[in-house]
Amino acid sequence: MTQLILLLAFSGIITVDRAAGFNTMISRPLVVSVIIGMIFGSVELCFLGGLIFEIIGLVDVPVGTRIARDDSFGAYAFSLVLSYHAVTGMSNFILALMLVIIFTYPVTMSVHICRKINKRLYLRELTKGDRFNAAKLVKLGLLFHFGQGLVVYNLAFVIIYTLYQWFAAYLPGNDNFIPYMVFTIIFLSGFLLRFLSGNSYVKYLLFLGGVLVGWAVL
Amino acid sequence: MKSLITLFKSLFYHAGLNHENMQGTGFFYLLKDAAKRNGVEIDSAVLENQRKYFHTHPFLVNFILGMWLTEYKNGSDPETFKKAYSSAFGALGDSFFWHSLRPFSFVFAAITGTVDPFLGIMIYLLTFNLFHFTFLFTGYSLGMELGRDVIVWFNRIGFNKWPEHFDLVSVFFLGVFLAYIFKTGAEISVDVFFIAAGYLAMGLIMAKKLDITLGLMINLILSGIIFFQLGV
Repeated sequence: MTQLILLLAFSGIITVDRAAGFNTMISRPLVVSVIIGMIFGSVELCFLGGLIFEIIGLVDVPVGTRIARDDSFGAYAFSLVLSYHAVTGMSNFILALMLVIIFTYPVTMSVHICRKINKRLYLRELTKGDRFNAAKLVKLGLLFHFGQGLVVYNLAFVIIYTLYQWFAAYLPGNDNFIPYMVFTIIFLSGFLLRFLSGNSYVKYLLFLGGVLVGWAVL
Repeated sequence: MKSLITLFKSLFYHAGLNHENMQGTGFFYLLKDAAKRNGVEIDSAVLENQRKYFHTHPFLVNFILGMWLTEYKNGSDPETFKKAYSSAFGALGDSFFWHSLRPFSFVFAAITGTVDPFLGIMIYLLTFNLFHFTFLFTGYSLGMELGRDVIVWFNRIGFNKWPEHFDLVSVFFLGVFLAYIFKTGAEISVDVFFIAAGYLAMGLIMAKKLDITLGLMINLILSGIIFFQLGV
């Protein structure tokens, strides 16, 4: 019960931190995954899952008014699937990851709904003239975003988990999927490497230097 | 103390974000409060005007807030500078905080997190928020002090060059991280080494043309078919 309450509160905090207040990066996929891992006792596995969604989010910059893909939800849902010990093999891992990625799209759409609600509230408040209350709009914005996380994140997770269990019954399982997780992280790092700015020669030489140092020293 | 209160309130500046006035509500909320604390009487028509469209990077808003109050007190036109700086700071902030500081914080968190995940996220939060809170905290007082010349401060610290420098550091440590996670996460053999190198090369090639999720989905579908055929 305590786990559930913590989880529900955390889902609301994630969306507030992401879109309405604080911006302390507690909503970053890596942080979300480790916190969920700590709640359910599967930190190392969730950390690896968090790395996948963190890299996806890093190359998707919320420039200007653009709403970036909800990588926090991806980490939230994927870490929960991992924490429930539902993933037992490589095929299961791929299925879970694909389902979560697909569902990040409708979840991202819910941010648009929050912005539309904010717009309606703002226009309504404008009609009040001198009694325009910005503090009230700010508080309502925080509240709606908290509700968005609480409702949308958890509802989407329930749907993902139901679909996952249904499809997973047809898949083989019981093998070590950690190496494949590592390969997925390496694959995504290719996108991150290209995304980072700098002179190409310098960049790739530095990267190779880093690989050598990492291999030799750590 | 004034900077601390402004810092706290500016954490909620974008809560009312919408596609009508963007962050105008948040700016109005901050300005009204800061003017009251500084004993600045703002003409009601001018204040009412602040509810309209405004959009800048949330971590740099305090620079504009401080600048606006100083210019208003000096009797000049703060609106012209507000408009010019909001777009300039929006671009600078997006480029540094979203594009470069996040990967920079990530690589250190990832390396540390491979040893201790909790320590990893602490590193992430500390690295990112060191810059986040420093800019929010100093922004207001610098804006008040420098007024319209606040942009000079950004030129002085070479802020527009920071993203590239930070990215190069990130690239190096990304290499360190990948070598380390490969050593610890996979059973090393020549075949496995070439598979890992192939995955990295595939990511690099796909990144030129494809969106990251589309690239990942293609990778997952191909891998899934192979694994399913192999019965794993």
